[in-house]
Amino acid sequence: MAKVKLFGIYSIKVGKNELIIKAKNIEELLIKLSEIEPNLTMEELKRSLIFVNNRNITELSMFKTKIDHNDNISILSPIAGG
Amino acid sequence: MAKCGGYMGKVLVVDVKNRTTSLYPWSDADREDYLGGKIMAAKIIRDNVNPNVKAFDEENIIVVSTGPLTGTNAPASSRFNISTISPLTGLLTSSNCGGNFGLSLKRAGYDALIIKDKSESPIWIEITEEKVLFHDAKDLWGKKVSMTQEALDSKAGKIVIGPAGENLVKYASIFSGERAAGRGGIGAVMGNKKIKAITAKGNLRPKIAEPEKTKEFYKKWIGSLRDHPLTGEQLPKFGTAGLISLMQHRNILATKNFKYGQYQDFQKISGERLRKDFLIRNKGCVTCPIQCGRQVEIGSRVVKGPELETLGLLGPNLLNNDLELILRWNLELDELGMDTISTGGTIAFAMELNEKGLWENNIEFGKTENISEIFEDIAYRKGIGNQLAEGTRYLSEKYGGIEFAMHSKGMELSAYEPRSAIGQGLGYAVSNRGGCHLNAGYLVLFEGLGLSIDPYSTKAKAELTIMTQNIMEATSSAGNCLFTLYAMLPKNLIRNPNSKVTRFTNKLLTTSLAASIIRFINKADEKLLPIKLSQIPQIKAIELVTGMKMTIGKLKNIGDRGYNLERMYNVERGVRAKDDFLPDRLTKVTQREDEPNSYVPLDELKEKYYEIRQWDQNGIPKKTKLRKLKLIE
Repeated sequence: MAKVKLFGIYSIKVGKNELIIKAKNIEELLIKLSEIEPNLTMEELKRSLIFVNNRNITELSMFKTKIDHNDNISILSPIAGG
Repeated sequence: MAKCGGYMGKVLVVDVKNRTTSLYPWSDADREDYLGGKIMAAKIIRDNVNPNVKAFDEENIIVVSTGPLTGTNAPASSRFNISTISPLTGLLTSSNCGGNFGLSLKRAGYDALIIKDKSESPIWIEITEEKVLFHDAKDLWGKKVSMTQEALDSKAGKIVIGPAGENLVKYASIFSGERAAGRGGIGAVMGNKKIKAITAKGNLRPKIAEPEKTKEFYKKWIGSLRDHPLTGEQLPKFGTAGLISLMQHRNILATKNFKYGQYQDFQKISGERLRKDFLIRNKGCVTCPIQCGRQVEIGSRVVKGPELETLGLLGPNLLNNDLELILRWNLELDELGMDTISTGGTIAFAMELNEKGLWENNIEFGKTENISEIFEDIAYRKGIGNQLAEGTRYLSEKYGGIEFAMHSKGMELSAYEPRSAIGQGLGYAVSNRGGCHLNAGYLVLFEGLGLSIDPYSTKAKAELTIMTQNIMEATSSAGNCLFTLYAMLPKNLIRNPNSKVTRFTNKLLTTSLAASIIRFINKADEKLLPIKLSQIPQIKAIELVTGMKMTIGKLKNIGDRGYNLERMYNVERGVRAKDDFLPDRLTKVTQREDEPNSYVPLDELKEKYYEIRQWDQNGIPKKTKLRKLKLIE
């Protein structure tokens, strides 16, 4: 079971910021998340910044990145400010 | 009078000792070369203040300046600049503010205001279209910021100081409404001149070269800001506070006096938590479609919410996870008239000195109950507050700990921990103002916030830093908020950070090819870049408003001129390569156990930076460069 934390616009859309989801990899996790939370479409989730244990999936295997038990998944969006 | 549109054509000089006024000569040629804002101020200060003059000498001057877009209804263009010799750094400083004073100054008929000399007793100054009046301020002296503003004409634009400015705290700020010109201790210079407040009021407006086209263009520009994911969605929804969560994931959230880049309790002080538990409404500067400011509720009071920097430096950097306390502290510091960044940075350093047994001061990481009292002690220079009021550099010279004294050129660093954004680290070190994230070039925008280029690679970092510094310098001088520049990053790259195009762009930006192209752009003569880049709407806006021909090449060169002008003046004040400095913690200690490159390789980055800037190895701009920029004959 992986702990999924939602930040920024994703936390607003869902109204909560933490879920527990069982999945083999990021692709499966996003599918399950979009099923549990219909406000989050698969298309927009695929456009989010995704970190597995603080590492961006772009440095890992993208959506094929495997998820182990107790992994921490974070879903965020880019932001800038001063 | 100015032939250029956008300007009022007059620069007011106020001599507060003799209580006289005059006009400063400033021509259309000056306007073309220096635009306004901080670059104009740097030129005026360099021409009028001998480099031996110190911040609290009566020969020091304060320059309050606007840009050509200020007062023309351009989006996010109510910004104004205040420059002077800083008591904190001993160098030229500039501080930018979003309050309404700049607009009001223009309405009164002036593009800029130069304050000379020193009054013998506290005064406040009233500027209108018809006259300048000097009023006795003995009833205002001692009042906090909001009470001072409430005592003055509610319809006028104002700048005021609080007790910290009166007591010459080295990082005292100037306030205009709720907005601060926070950095560099400019409030102390105003306090030293015994000026409690300045008001401006009038009904004049600048002439615009192409009024109809400008109106039409502004509509499109506002639309594009609203349509951009950074300026139209993230900043309005979360304010700058929304950065905390991403900074945590990028290892750039300064924690425990920059010992770490992550804070385990970050969610307790995040923008998401601020929005959920405290936000009442957004509030922004006049004419701004972004509205990044926050209004929050504490008890039954609705007050200004904290910016990212305040959250970071009074939260993780002090190991404080109490968001409500940060909201209260933010209010207390604003009322005292003190910079939240330098205050947080100085207290964090004092905490570490105490922890290491170098200075027993009863200030401890995670201990929050005595912090409000310490703020008051700093503002009124009581007890240890008198030492804290001098800033981090002073404390490190007195008690040691230079290797973990988080400042550059005497200015405390902002909340971005640069070991996981090394381009930002270079920027902090070479910044004219000192440890300021914006004057640094804000490369962290590319290194993990908006884009995701390799934050540990040295490739193209010096080139990118120079490019962003120059564009930001010119944008600021036009009177425009730097946040509008975030919309320069293509929407699709921001909206889809996982796409092949975005990943390719991220990789491309740290290649030798990108470095060569950006290097060419940085060095290119303006005639080689004759285009109006649509990603930077300021170019067309300046042309439509002023009637000056403007291109990306010209805008870039104005920024380059400004950056080099400030550097040259700082060089005349003694700045050399050794002053482009970061403490050892950031350059010699790796931040992450799993990332051997998580430190700032400053010497290597500086060498490249100097070479592209055409500065010699001592950090002095070469004559050929200065000549090209028309800074010497």
